[in-house]
Amino acid sequence: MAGEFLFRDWAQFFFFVLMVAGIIIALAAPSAVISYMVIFISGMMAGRVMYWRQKRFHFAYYIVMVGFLIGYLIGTYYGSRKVIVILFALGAFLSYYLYDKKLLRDTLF
Amino acid sequence: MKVSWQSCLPNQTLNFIYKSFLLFHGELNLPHPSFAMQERVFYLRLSTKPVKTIYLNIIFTKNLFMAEIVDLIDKIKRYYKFTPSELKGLVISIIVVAFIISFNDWGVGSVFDAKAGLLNFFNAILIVALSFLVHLSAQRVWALATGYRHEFQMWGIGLGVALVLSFITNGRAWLIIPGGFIVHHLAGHRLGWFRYGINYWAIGLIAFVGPLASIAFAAVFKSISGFVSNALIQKVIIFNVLYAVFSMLPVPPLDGSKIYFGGRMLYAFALPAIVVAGILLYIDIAVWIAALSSFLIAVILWLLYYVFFEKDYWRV
Repeated sequence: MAGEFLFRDWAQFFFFVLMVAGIIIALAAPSAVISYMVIFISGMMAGRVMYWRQKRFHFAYYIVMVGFLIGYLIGTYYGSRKVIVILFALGAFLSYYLYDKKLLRDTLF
Repeated sequence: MKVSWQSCLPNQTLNFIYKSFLLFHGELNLPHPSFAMQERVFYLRLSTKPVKTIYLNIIFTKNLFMAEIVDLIDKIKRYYKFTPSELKGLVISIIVVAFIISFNDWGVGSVFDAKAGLLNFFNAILIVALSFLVHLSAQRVWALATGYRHEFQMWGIGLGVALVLSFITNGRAWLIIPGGFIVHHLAGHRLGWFRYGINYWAIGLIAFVGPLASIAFAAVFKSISGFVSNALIQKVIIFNVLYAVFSMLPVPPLDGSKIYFGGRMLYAFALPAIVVAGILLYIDIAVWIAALSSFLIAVILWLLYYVFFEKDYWRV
């Protein structure tokens, strides 16, 4: 039953898991600067995943990423929420651009 | 299909094999040495002949071994070099991991000290670069010896997670997962009995050599710390132990995943061996006791794993 749910509705499951992770990470950030750096790095990781799925667009991945961002916004204590959203988008765009232009190369698994 | 090795072998190796055959090809009524040079398998078939078996075996083994060494040295000269793409990934990984392990060293307490921080960061870069070089070189040489070319690949997501963890724990948690590797088949350099392409077992063994080299490197520094002990040497030991242990995680693209896919029994031996060796090197104990104990514990756990889990699966 649980396995079937995980297999069929994995996007919802990981949306929830990453949202909780986002809340915990945001709460653990001790200052606004750290909070901004963490979200920028998270954005870069999101950009990497978006680059990986660019040819086979899969909306579920975007749902999961947005889940993390929502969780992070809920848990943020220090810093502005607007800046956090901007930094996340900036990180994602920068990472996507670097991978797309082949300036960065790595492996996912 | 007839495969000619002449174009891909160095002259030194060719001469060596040629001369080895000249010794006895007339005596055994063999075909011309140039024919024999095409297939190293031929050496092994020859040794089953009843004529002077022992004598021939000694010559064959010696010559085969020497030819392998010459061949390996040639392969290292040709293929050891890191490609620009690899170097880029390696430099990024080194800087990020060095930043993680020197995160707490930018001043004393809550007072920020840029000068001390930069010095510690530079030291961390040296430690990380040296440790990565040992880990990757061991894998590279082993890969070349078994007919593959090893290529390091950075793991962006892993480095990102490690950075985030470092930030939220104030540098107290070191997650050292810089990347993995892929292998390329050196088809032209394959000599003799094996030429079936890439396989999981060989990749598993290549992967296992990396953490083993890191543990050996930590053991060397542990021995040195008996004579000269300072914070830098302690950091090298801790870093290499953690690097070896985290490499054993069965998460792609880390070494542990490749060992696991290489063989569950191999992983059942490798994981306890590396983890126990790491723990024993971390605590204050003689290096040889740590090495021996970790091997024995790994063998015991390996047998227990076989008896309680694996044996049933092997039954037909």
